[in-house]
Amino acid sequence: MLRPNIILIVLDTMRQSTLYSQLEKTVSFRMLAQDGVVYDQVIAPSPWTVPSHVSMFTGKYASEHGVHRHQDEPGIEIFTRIKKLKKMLPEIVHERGYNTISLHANNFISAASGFGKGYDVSLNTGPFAEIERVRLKIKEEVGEIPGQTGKEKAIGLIKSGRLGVPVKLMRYNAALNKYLDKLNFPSGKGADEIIEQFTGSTINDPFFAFMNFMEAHEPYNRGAPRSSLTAIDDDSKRASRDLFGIQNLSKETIEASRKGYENSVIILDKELLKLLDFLKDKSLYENTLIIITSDHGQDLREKKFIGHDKFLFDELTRVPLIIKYPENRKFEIAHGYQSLVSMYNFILSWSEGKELAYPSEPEVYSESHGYSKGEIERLTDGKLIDSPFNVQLKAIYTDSYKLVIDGTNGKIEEFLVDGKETEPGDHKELITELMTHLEIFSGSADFKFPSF
Amino acid sequence: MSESREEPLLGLEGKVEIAEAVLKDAFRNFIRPGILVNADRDGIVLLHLIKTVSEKQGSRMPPVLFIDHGDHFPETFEEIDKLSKEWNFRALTVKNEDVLNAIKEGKLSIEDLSDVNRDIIKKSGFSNSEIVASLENSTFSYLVKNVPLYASIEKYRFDSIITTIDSSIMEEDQEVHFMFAHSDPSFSIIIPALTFTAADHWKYTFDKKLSVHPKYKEGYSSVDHKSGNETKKEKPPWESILGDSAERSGSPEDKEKLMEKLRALGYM
Repeated sequence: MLRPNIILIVLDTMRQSTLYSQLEKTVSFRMLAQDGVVYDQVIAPSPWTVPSHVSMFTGKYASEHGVHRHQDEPGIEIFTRIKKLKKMLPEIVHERGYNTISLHANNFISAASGFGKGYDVSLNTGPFAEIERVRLKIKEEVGEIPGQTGKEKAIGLIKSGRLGVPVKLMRYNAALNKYLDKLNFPSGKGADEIIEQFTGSTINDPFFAFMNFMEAHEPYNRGAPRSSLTAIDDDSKRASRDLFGIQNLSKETIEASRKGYENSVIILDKELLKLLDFLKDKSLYENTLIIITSDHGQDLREKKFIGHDKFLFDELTRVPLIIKYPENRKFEIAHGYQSLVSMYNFILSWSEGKELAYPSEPEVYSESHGYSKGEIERLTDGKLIDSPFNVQLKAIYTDSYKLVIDGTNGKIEEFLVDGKETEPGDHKELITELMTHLEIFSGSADFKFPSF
Repeated sequence: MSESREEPLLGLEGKVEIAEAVLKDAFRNFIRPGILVNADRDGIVLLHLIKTVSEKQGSRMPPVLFIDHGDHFPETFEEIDKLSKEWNFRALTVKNEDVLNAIKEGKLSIEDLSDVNRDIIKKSGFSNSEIVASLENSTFSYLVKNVPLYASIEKYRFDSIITTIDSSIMEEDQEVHFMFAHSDPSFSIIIPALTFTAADHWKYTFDKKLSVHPKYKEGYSSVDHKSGNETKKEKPPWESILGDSAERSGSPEDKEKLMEKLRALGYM
């Protein structure tokens, strides 16, 4: 067959359950589900953006591609690791003659972070890109301000007689807020800009378009970062608090966050419909492979916090996958689990004109690698939590079982049978078998297992 | 069959140090190595070398892939089982069940096989409708050795395979190094004991008092499979190998002393 156009859409931070439970009330997602195949045993290889995207683009788990937090090196090194990777998916499809475009609202997957290779166009857009742009501009113009906290820095400015700086910052703040209002931030996080960019650009067949939408990502219910611009206060703890609004969570805040999260499906549905209409108008819909997925899910205080990363709860690992195949083909879903790691081979096969159903595996894995050296502490309910989060976790999903081991202390973190928390002692033989798989998967890593 | 790298002036102690250095480097650079051995002389020596390095580093031994090609001596399974318990490694027995179940009267009818195996045969260029079910037949050998091996490498996501010079992974006339790349599937092959001669393997075996496959004691020089062209001899293989080696390095008395020592250790 002819090589199809390929659109890979990552709804950053979208849980499977949140999207699937609202499918019927959507228009675009429902259309894709009807014309395509809906997979419901899909597992993200990592619970946060960077390693999960690299897995999709390399076909490797985080422990294999190495782009994850390493506890012996600063967090920033993760981006050096991306840049050192051999060819990723976009480079290969580009070499195969595809026109390639990346439109994303997540700074972590921008060209500056090392994800730009292989794209004819790579555009980082939306509020986070703008906040970063303004932050860098302020830093360039104002320079480093002595002091650890915002208060100390403000005093430092007054003492040094640089009274013009606060005025300059207020001006930047005002411009940024105007932009955020236009986006309807924090509900809107740049999806409309991405769609506008795509539908407004001229891209020839065959094309590979990667889009990352941030609407499901926190923050949900604050005007962050209106309260402070991080340039004046480089204290990352405070910046993180302001940006993500995750301190001192009241019941109302939690509820509002959940509503904001749920509502992202409707916002995204509306934007996606514009894309599908565009494809239909241009007679591209039929022969385009459209993939809707996410890089990880989100905890909305069902377990630990509002956010993702660090843990391997189903809320964080189970992600959506809807695939509309070219000519609206309906491939049968094989028994087992689908891993985002398979995205690499899946897209490469189609880019060669080889038809392939998204593969299912008998066992799939997910991994979390804890913190990097000197990384910002994560806030949970206003408390700075460091060491308890600094864990190495590995999960295996197989049949109706899920086992998560904390390799830092060799303890069973979670054992589920049919999705329900189950006492491991009642399933010793099974646990031993699952641990064998995990032990082989953990390879030569220093990862402890319980003696069982 | 590939051959070991000749290093006639290098002593066994030096060769062991090299093998250990290769293993340390492999453990440093590969995240998920697997071991491919059967219970033959070279395999047990390799396992012991890996066990030694793993213990020194305080790490687990990588898992062992044991390929059941359908023609092993029962003692081979017993040896692997015994060693896995004594040395605390995971032995993963893998086989091409589809092929092994389809053997009838020493032959394999291609139409009885799964699509996967039929595709592999087609790609190899084999066009007959039947295959002789013998490990001497290269197509059959590939089906029962390489196919399950490659499937396991993909299933368990091994990035490297530590093995012996004479493993089924080697291609005819392959130029071997301590480490080299294999493609389709993609993984690295690691041969720590590349410089070991047959005599070195036996010397190491006896020096370290390692287990010896019982079939060697019966006079077999190879224990990979039951059937085939193997001619059983009256004496175990090390007698001629170590005997020659002792004669080269010293007097006939040296040979007799060595044999006496081996008898005392229960190897003869």
